[in-house]
Amino acid sequence: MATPLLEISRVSKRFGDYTAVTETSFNIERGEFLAIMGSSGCGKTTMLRMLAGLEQPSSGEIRLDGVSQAGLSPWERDLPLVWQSLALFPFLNVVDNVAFGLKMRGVKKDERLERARVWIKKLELEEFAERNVTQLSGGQRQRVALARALVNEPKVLLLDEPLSALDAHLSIRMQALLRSLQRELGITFIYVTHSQAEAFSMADRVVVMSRGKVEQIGPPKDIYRFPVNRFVAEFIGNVNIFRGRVEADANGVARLSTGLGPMLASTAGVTVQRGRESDFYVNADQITLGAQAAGENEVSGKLLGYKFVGNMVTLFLELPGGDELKVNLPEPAYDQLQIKIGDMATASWPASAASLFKITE
Amino acid sequence: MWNFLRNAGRSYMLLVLLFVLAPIAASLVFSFNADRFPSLPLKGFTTDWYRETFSDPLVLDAFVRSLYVAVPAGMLSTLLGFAAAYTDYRFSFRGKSLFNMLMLLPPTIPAVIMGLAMLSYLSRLNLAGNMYAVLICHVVTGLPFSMAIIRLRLGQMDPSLEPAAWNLRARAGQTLWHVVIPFCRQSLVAAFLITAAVSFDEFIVAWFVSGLEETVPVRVLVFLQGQVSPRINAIGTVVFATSILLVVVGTAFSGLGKASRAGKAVDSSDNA
Repeated sequence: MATPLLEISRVSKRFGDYTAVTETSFNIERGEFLAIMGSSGCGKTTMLRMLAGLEQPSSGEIRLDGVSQAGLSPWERDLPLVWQSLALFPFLNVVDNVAFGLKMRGVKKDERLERARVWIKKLELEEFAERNVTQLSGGQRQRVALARALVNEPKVLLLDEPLSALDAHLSIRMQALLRSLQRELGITFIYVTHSQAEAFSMADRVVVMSRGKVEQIGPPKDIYRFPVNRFVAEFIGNVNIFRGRVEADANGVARLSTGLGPMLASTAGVTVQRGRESDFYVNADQITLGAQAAGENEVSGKLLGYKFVGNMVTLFLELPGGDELKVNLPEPAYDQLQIKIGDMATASWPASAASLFKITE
Repeated sequence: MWNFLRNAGRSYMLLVLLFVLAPIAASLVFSFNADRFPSLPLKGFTTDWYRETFSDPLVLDAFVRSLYVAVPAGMLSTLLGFAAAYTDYRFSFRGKSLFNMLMLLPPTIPAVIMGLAMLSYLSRLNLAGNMYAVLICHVVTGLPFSMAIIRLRLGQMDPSLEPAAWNLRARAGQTLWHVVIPFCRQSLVAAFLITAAVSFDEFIVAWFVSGLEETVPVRVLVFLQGQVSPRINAIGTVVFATSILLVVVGTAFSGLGKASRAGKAVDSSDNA
């Protein structure tokens, strides 16, 4: 198999005493849409800046097409970036903004204007071509920023939270545009974001980072369903985390004793140590509620409150001992329950909905 | 109560303005007065003093000399001011606060001391007593102004703008030429006009170092020493009008009033 398009190998970045990225390695394949996700300060933006050459790694190496990028200045790389602030040139009109990169490469005027026009057309900016960028709306300026980067026909496009300034409606339209552009062009997108919604709806693979390290890499579905550790589980936020001692394990199922009684959890892909205190998680989507609820695990609690997200309802139960249990139900199921705040309810789930973490600290 | 305070404040400000502007206004009025002596009542309108002034070769020479100094002084101050402002904006280095302090120091030095120091220094270099001496001194005087104006504009620049240009294959020099300078264009014009004005009406330092090559303000003093002529009023009015014009146009260019931030969209109808 050919070398990956981008190889990030054991890369660290230190600023004085502060380590922004620690010994991070992963590969990026040709034509994939990769999202790097994490909260602020997790190192995702530093990672992107190192790819663009705006920072040099303190140690480790980045290779593009097998060629080390060490010591190359930003202007010696072909990794255009779409900036969070867009960073359009306010004194130039749309065409000149888009053609800027070509001009810097020494492309002749006629040719660069022609090539700029192609992208202006593709991104439906024709009627604004001669306008100054300061006269455009947020969505229009977004597309100018995309055109300005893509006109250089790069193998990789870097995007730094480009949608964070847009309202929700526009952001969703831009996500669709980005996704279809990426499919059509077949180039690699590396998309840095703090937004789970953006990462999960566009990316082929997601890298979850925290405190300068990669916590998990995988397709969105895997990260959502099978968080490898407590951090990812809490970041994704659709699971309940419990702690218990492993009493027995057989046939891929462990029995744990917890403050809420014995519970069963899957141990697929996990090395289990009997007698050890371990965290495990229960997927909030796979819990059923009701008086007659029946599953391999059962707890009772008092309904504290609920919130609606689309046609899903998230209910919060207070368990004995003060823990909270999060339960996601489709709205019709919730209506059937006829449960009020303060009522007691029994929650249950199969052993397969619960799992020990692959990585414990 | 608030009304009273506000009115009192306004009246006070008016008084201050009056106090500052009265001599200039008087000069303007008497420059058109037919009487030789500046006294009331006015004797009638005349433009004789202007005609006389501008037919005096000494005054004309001084005017030409002033312009010869003011234009290059403005250009050099702007160029060096841009370099200083950009250094402050882009780089951090040891002794940066000292660098900035030195850059902004000249206006805080009393002009007499500055003039004396310049005279003794330049005479050692055999540069005193001519237009180049005045030019050098006026660049020193104007530089802090142009640096401040340009630095203010650089502060409004999106910090990603330069990296965005590098990212699009512009080298550092190309970025300066194609991005930073166009971004600062208006403030460069403003800095030029204002430093030219500073040079055009600066008197004290010029008096020390100009020798026989007098600029307009120095010529005026020489006039005053010999006689009281209404021509002084005519010259004063022209100098005042020139300087004010330069400063007003300069301020309009610098956008000091309405610090418009780069890249902020005027939100029009959104059909993205």
